[in-house]
Amino acid sequence: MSTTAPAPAHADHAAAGHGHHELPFLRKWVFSTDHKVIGLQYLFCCLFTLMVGGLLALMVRWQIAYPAGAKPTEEQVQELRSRGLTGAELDAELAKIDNDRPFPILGELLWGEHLEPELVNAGEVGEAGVFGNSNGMMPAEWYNVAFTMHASVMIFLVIIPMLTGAFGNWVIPLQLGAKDMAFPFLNGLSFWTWICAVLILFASFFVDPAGIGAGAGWTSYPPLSDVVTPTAGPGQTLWCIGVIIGGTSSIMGSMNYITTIVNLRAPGLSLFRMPLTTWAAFITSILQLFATPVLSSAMAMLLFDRHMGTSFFLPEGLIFTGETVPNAGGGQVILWQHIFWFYSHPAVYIMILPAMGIVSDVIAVWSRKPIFGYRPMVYSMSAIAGLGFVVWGHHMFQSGMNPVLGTTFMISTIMIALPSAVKVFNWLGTLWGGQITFSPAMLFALGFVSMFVIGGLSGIYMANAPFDIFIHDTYFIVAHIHYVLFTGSVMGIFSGIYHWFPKMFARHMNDAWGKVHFWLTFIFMNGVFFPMHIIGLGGYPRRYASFRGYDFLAPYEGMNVFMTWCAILLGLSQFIFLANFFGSLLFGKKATSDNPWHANSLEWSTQTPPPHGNWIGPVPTVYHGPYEYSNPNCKEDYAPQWMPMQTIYGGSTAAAPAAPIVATGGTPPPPHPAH
Amino acid sequence: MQQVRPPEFGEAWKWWLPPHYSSFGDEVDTLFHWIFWITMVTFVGVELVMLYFCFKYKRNPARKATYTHGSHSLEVAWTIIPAVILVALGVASTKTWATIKNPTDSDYPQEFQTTVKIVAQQFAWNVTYAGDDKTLGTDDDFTETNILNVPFEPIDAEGNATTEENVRVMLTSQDVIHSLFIPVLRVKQDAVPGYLGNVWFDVQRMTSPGPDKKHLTGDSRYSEDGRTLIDWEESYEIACAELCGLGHSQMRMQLKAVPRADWEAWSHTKSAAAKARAAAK
Ligand code: HEM
Ligand SMILES: [Cu+2]
Ligand SMILES: [Cu+2]
Repeated sequence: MSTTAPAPAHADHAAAGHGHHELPFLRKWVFSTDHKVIGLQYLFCCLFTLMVGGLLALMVRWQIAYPAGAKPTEEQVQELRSRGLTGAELDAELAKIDNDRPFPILGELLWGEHLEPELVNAGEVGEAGVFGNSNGMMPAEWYNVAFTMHASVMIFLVIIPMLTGAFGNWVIPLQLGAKDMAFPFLNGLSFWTWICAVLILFASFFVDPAGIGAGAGWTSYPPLSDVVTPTAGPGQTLWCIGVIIGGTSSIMGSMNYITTIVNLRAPGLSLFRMPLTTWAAFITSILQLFATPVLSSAMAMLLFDRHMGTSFFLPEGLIFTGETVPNAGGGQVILWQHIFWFYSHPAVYIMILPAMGIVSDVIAVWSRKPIFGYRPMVYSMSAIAGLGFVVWGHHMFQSGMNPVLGTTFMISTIMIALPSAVKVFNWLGTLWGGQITFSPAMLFALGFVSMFVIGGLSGIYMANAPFDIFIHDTYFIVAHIHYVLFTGSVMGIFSGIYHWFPKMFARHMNDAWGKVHFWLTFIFMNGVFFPMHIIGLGGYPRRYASFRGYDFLAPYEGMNVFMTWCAILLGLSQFIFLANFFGSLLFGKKATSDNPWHANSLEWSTQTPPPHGNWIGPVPTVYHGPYEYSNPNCKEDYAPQWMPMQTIYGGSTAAAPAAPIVATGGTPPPPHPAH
Repeated sequence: MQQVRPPEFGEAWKWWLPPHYSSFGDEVDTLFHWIFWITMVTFVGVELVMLYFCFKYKRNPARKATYTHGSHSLEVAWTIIPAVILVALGVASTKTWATIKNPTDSDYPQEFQTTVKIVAQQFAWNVTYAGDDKTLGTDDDFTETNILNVPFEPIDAEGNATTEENVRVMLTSQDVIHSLFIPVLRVKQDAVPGYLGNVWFDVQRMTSPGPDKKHLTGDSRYSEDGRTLIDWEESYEIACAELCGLGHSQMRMQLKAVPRADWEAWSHTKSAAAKARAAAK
């Protein structure tokens, strides 16, 4: 397709009466095919799944800080001694000390009443909880389920759908000047398919009579995930099915975005006039389309192994709890890792590229500057995507893979840090000489840049194969993932919400509370995730239900407790956001302008909120790139894409395009904001 | 003699890498230090520039933002310079990687003074020693659970090895994947079912207590004030680093590094007993 969209199609569309007839409630708000409604559906659902994922994270953190079996502390012993107790008397008193702490509120509800050691020793049994009775303390199987589901929920049900589903849907057609997605029905189908995945993944908590869900980690390495055992029962099966279905939704979505971006751009909107949010969505969709089927195939093989007697991943002679596994033989354990990471490495970029796009747009708008190095930004995103397919082996340095491959993957992985660095430098370049306003959206974008640096740099430690020997599967990895995914992607998501909220809901969020939300989030997330680097350097392994039993982990108890409390405060800070979000939705200051931030891209050209069909009348025509901020030839410090510069601003014609002047249905720019 | 832990044990390593005792540990840690300084400089630089810009370019109606779409030469510079640094880092690391993992490398040990086989299972390590005949798979082999006992490599006060004591571990698993993680040796290797992997290491220890107290760890014996190393039967912890089920965090093994003579005596006793048992069958 050439650079212009098929205008006649739009005309027909409009003529068919878009925006002029009312749809029945169910068609309009539930089984909708309108990309904006679908986008908001994703947004609201993801806020819910985010809370579930967050709660699971707090359970994981609580368990790490306070595993069962806490011994009397030095002070407690001293105290008893000072009362003159010694020998058997002292031992008897010590045995009565109970330092175990059940998870607040939920602990006893889920795992039974917590009794004093005295009563337990006397053979008393408390009331059972929803998931059996382990004296109110989280059992190891639950811990495994909690971290597995925390990661799965955050990846498959929060970050990917939030970035591609919510922002992709809501923003892309508007930035393209399209009346809707290329395949509106497929879009709705994709959403409802995703809802099925959500339900199935959540159901995995409840299907197992033993009360255990999927507990083999989000990476689900066989044979642990492959052989049906009490620890990998029906929950694990549902997990595989849920991931396949979620992937199917991703595939539908990505095809839709690619088709829309290639075919439905407004007249004049060439690829290199697209805002970076849309570019990121484009590249992400390509990644998704190529990578996700690979994940689905891996999951299918795993399911076959589990339930149909195949043995893709099971070698001969496996012995589980004293018995030979009947269908084992001829399979390769490491095969799974190759297939899984072939998807999952690109998947980590699926989770960051859209956030990078959002942040780029936010930084440009709020510093009134053109993006520094627009094309290098596009090229580096493409490079990240391309290289992303040849680095998967960096997750497998210690897996027994051929060491020569290790060298290869080390070099390719180190190289992938380069485009990330280029992006950071360009963001700094964009800030340089700007007119920076610290709105909540901008604060989160700046937070993204400053914290993504940490995640990117810690990647270099792990990319270094010899040093990765030491830090692989330790908390250093956990620090890395959270610096890129929480302080990166999640901050990008918040930034996007604050930025587009007025367009989405025709009301403004509260700025002051937005800033409070930012600062609390920023402080506590560093409190949670930074010490993970330190305990990782101490060799603290990830996925450990308890540090008790290892001398070399004992010194980290204090840091673990600190991180856990930061995590709790981080979680509580998010209620400020929720209150602000829902409060503003209902009572926020009404948006008085269609373009309150004086931004250039097309989503700001239409009514607020945008009507069904996005523009009443024909779609706007695009005259120039999206980052014409502070152009000296213009009176104002911005030049919307839908307006030829010379007509609106009366500046010199030097920078004006030769395009004809058309009435566009866009609103003329309001006067300069009083920031 | 009373056994006293030096006061700085554990806490001393809390904020940094633990001490290392293998011959390649130093190379690994050197790489870490290089990366640490490179990334620290980058990190501090980027954050300072960003903070500076945030203060300097705060919104000010008296000023107009600079209108620029970028700079070709800057792009080239900040692509080429990091690229050179990164490639150099990569190239510098390949040698260490090969020494540790690649049997075809010239620095990979040609000879192993000790070979053991470890079969991991949920949730224990079964270590089989070759016994008197130094061959695995014979009657005088013996198996210990969760104890990896090896001779150490004596080094003199200058830190040079006086004899070689390379240990080879043939590593596999009978059920799920586990991972042999010996923090103080900078060793980690997955134990993969259906595949017999190889790991090697050596445990270097001084033949006399060094002044730098480099080896203060484990069950060493110290003088009563906890300052002077008197005798040391060191034992280090080995952990499982790959999620293997409910008991994952309980798969603890002890690594004991003892003088060759002591090790021979221990091995001989165990081996003879195993042989007698086999004969009795
Ligand atoms: C700057 C470039 C980056 C480099 C060089 C890099 C390198 C690595 C390496 C080598 C590992 C494997 C470590 C190990 O298991 O031993 C890893 C793990 C991981 N990385 Fe990155 N990374 C980079 C950026 C990112 C980004 C942008 C994301 C996501 C948004 C990301 C997400 C992850 C995740 C989720 C894992 C852990 C997977 C797991 O084992 O559960 N990384 N990274
Ligand atoms: Cu990766
Ligand atoms: Cu394990």
